[in-house]
Amino acid sequence: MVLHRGGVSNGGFSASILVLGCEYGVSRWLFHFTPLHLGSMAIENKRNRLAKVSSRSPFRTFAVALVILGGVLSVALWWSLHQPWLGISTVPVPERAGLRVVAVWPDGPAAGILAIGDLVTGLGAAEGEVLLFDRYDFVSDPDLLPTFAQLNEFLSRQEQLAIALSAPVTRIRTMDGRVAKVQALPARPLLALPMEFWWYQFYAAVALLVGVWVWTTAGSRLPAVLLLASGLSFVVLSTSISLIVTREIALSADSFRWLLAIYHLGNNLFSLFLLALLWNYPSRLGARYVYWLFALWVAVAWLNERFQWYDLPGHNVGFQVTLFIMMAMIVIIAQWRRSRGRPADRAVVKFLIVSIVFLNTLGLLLYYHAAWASDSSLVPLVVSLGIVMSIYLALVAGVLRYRLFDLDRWWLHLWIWLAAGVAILGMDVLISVALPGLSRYSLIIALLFIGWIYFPFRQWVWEKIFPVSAMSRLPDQLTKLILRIISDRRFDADAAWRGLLKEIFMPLEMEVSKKGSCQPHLLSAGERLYVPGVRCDGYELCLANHGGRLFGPQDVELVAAMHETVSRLDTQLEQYRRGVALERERIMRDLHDDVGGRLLTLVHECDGRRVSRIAREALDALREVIYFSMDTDSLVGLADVVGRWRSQLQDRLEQQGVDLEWDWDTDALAGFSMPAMDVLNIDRILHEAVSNALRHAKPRMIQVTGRVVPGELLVTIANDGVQLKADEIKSEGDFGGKGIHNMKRRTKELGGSLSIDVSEDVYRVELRVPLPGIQQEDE
Amino acid sequence: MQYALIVEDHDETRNWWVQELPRLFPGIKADAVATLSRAHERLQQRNYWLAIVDINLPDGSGVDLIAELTSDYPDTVCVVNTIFDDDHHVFSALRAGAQGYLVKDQPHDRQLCQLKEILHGQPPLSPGVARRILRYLSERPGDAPPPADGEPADSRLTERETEVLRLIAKGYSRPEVARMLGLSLNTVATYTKSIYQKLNISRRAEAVVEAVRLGLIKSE
Repeated sequence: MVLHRGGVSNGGFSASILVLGCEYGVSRWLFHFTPLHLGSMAIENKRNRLAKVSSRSPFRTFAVALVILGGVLSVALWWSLHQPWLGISTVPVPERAGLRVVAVWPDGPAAGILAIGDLVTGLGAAEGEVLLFDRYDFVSDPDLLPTFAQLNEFLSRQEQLAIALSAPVTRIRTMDGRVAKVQALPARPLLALPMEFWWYQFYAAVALLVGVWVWTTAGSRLPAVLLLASGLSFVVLSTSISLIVTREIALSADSFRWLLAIYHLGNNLFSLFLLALLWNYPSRLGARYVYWLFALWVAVAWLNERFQWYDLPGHNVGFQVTLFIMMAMIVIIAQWRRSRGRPADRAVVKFLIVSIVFLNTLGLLLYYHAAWASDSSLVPLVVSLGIVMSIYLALVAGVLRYRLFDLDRWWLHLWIWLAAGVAILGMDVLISVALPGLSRYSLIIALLFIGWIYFPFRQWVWEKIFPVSAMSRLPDQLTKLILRIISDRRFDADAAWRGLLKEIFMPLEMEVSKKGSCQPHLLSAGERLYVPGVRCDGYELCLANHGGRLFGPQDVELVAAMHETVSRLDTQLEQYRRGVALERERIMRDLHDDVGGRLLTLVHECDGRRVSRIAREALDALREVIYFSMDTDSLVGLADVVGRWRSQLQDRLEQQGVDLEWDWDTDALAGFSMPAMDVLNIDRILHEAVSNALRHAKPRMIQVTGRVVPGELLVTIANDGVQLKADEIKSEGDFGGKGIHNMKRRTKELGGSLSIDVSEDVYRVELRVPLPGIQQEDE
Repeated sequence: MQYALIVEDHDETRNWWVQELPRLFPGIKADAVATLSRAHERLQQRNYWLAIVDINLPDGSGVDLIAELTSDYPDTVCVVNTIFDDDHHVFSALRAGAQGYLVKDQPHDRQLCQLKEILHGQPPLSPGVARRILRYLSERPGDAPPPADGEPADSRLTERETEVLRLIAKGYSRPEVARMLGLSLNTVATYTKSIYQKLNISRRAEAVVEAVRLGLIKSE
């Protein structure tokens, strides 16, 4: 028996796997298994390793794996086919302690002796030695028996039945009291093997091939080696148990002991390696001695099974299984805590919870839970082992990144289902153990309990946990954004879009991406989210909620909808603005060409100095309007226009022989800017005030000062040479106040205040304009 | 015989130039056109010593024509004649290579005087334009690469030039600047000329940088 010889010892087995794994110093495990793993490996490192990986032939490794599988299968098959065969198929009927014949092979030894429907109640090697079945003889997997005493009893009966089967003539006693004589054949035909047998071989193949696949692509990094080792252990356990549960009624006690020893070895190693995997992945939890302790426990448990030193509390195997599940939970909780603030690790942990922990727990619970109370299981072993085996299928899905991040949503649902199931089974066990009289109704009571208590509680918890999400901030933010887009003429759609993204996703960082794609999508498996820009390049957001969360498909949907809304709005608004700008440009052009040209003609062709001057002033005004209207939306730096004002005023006053005293705090103004229309208004007020001074007084000097007082620009225009009395100036409004009226109107547009004050012969205009709090941005 | 090209769509102004130029510079013949396309036709036919270009033309912007003239006919003196004296338009014309600008509504004799000054290397400088130049040249120190044709081409402003520009930007006239800095009017005029040149050099250097960026010229 190769299996027998292969499973030398616990230590030897795992050591040989580790040596096998370390033979190649190659690893891409993390990149294949979880491409999102952050920073755990330097890029350079990765390249070196990639180079090495390519030198390994996966075909050879797979060929070796297939040879191993083929070898194991051949041995199992050979052994299984060389068991005595009666040529009947039976199903156990425990309550009548018999086996119902459901098929008789036409060419088999029992043909014509037994008929379908017969109930076999005992076997014997000789006439007087027929051993009547008891219900425990039909227990397919002796692990369900809680104590060693029961196991030994079972094995001794199996021994007697096996002797009966391999005797030259087997006596078969049926329910009707008949004793039939059948000459069992020494070998089973291939077709007589139950279908179940092949299922176990299939499980073994899947587990090993997945392990090998991950290992060939990921290399000898510890988690990959552990996964492969668990796969090999699975082959051992699956093959050995297949021989036990598909036996023809009975096996000799010796065969049974050996098979059970191998089966337990496989089982224990399997759980050991999975625990070690959880311990080491995604990050290593503390010292290794902890899982060496578990390894020690596993070895002791195995020896205890083998040599039957001490009955474990409650149920021999059930105890071990429970311990394993608890250990796995503790380790995964530790991993969960360790991955706090590392969303990539957190995703791996979630994935492991769903795959390894959930599936294992489900499979084992379904199989063993009832064993605490009785010797039967809720589901057949073949189903429960199939569930455990699907760990490997889940890993494949994970490796292929099959919607890995939908996990975000459904892993929680899974846990809720599992919790419900566990609660039902747990209640069931509790009721049967605590209130044996009620055990017939225990399942119903458990269901009622779950229905009335667990589900409402779950609902309550769910609502507590999930009211706040990215979505909930959306309506508010989007409304704000749209209002801004519509109302703000200088609105920068991309800046606002960036702001919105930041508000909603709170990414750890955000950078401009040159991708140019117009569809949002996930990058690095959810670590990053690509979002198109409104007008500019797109952006890459890194890790949502300040680095606490990965992006998922729901974020892509959300951001796509947001982007659609914002860019459509922006396009329409842009078209509208462009239309307005075009129209304005056309008007300006007309003004320039027609009015400007005519005024220019007037300036140069007209003989009268006065008309020429007025035409020039009109042209000046027109120019200012055109200048500032070209981009009314833009901000003009105050420092930029002050020089212009001074230069124009200087020119103007020089011609009139008036001195200019110009005192502006240009340094203080340097940081401020105003909309062009406001600047134009100030410009016109200045112009008007000086015109008034020249018109109504005979000034020798005009003083213009500009100061920045908190929140305001204070401009004063003062001139001497006033000849009118103060009250005369006030009453002047009737005929000559057009200038002042204009100044007041413009001041109102500016949102400022204007005061005029005459003392002695000094006329003084004071203009206050609110200054925007924002400092002008450096160009 | 030397030729001057006048590109101007305002009839009176164009006629006035055609009439005045030969008077101002004896021996000069003025060709006058009203559109960019006509100007191009003329440029095919002969070389010009002087080009007076309006910015706002029916079929485009005079700034483009000036840029073309400076690169294809570097010997032609380009002067902008505009009704827009705002610094945005003027500055872009100067950067395109115009060696001076005239504002149309100035009295005629003053314009002629200014044209002479420009041709003598004493171009005008308004506060807005000065501010722009200041910002443009001082905010890009050192990014001018060594020029490809080996000209000594440092586009950085000297301290004195910066001072002059600053005062002009604050609205002081050239005589005021001269008085404040204790310089002669001529010296201030010379500074403005060198500032113009630096602007032009900087523009060319910028063109080289741009060309390198676009891959037209290989950088060492």
